[in-house]
Amino acid sequence: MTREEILSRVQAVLNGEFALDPGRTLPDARLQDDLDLDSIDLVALAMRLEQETGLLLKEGRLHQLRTVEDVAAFVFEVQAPVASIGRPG
Amino acid sequence: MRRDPIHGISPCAGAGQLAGLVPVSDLSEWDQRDGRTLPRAARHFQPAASARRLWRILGTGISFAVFGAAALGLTLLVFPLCSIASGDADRGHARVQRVIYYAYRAFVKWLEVIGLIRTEWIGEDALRTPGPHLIVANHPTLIDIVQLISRLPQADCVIGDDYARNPFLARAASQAGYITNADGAAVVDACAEKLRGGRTIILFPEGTRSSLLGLRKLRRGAAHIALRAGVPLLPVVISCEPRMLRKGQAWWDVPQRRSQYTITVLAPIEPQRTGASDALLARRLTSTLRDRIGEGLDLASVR
Repeated sequence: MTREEILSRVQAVLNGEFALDPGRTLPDARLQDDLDLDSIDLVALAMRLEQETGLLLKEGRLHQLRTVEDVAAFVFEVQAPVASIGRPG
Repeated sequence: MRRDPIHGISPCAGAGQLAGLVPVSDLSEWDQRDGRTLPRAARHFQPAASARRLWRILGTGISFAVFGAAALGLTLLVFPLCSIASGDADRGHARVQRVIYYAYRAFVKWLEVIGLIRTEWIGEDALRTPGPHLIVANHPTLIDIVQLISRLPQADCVIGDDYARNPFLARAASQAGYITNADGAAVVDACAEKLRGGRTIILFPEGTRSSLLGLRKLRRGAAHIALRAGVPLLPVVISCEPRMLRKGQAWWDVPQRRSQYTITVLAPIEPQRTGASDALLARRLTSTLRDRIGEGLDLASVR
């Protein structure tokens, strides 16, 4: 997935899981201050993204992220080594 | 020096003469006159009332000293004996919680006898029904947990991270089997497990004591626990008038008259399973809880 596709997927998960208005889940929206996500929500977000992408995300790292864009970048970062394993050498 | 009563310093030069005797955060004892806010006692100095207040300051200090000494003795001597005599951890926690119940019951009775507080319970019978109970209360004063546990022979609590870092409190909490609030998700799991075992848990969803302006934003942990364990929230509304021992209020800032605690147990709120995500259900449940506690506080204020 490209970074843009991952961002769209993260935004869709946020909109669906937390019933957020799409206008609020902009890339620079802050997870806690703007979207009112707490630590338990971040765990739910991580689990939902794992289901959506098939990746294993470390919850602890998710707690350090500030914005929607940060989450997308994190998922992209986790995806990169996995994708390179499947690539012909 | 002209400052407002909410922030605790006398608003006019005349009141300064009595600043040490006037409970500065008790808004009910301030009057508007000639465009200025004056403490009632500044206009009608009453020696008897001041003597009673001085007694309440002294009584509060003595009570805290007794509380601290008793907590030290229990933690270092009695709780370890309970644990050793019980054999297994769960029975040890149950015994320690029962000792805390008796100690808090005695402490509340002491505060009432020396004239610091008066307590009225409404709907207390709901606490005596078979558990599990997930008690969620507002948190206006320092001794709310003491008031609640004084009626609950078994009650688990969640200890804030800052308290858990205090070696003395951490030791007492561990002996009582309380849950530490280090990781939100782990706390939800731990509380849900205790509730499935039929236990009673007390939570303050504001996370800290209420602000002077009223209820803070509620955290959603209690709702997540209710959903995970499949148990209702049992809201409890605590009101204390005149105000004392509030967040940011010094212990010696006691009111002119005895404080009245009114503690109301409301009807349980059942979590509604509607197919929406747990995150969304927790938001709705927390919103309902906030409305119920807010209504309860409004009722208490006009009572």
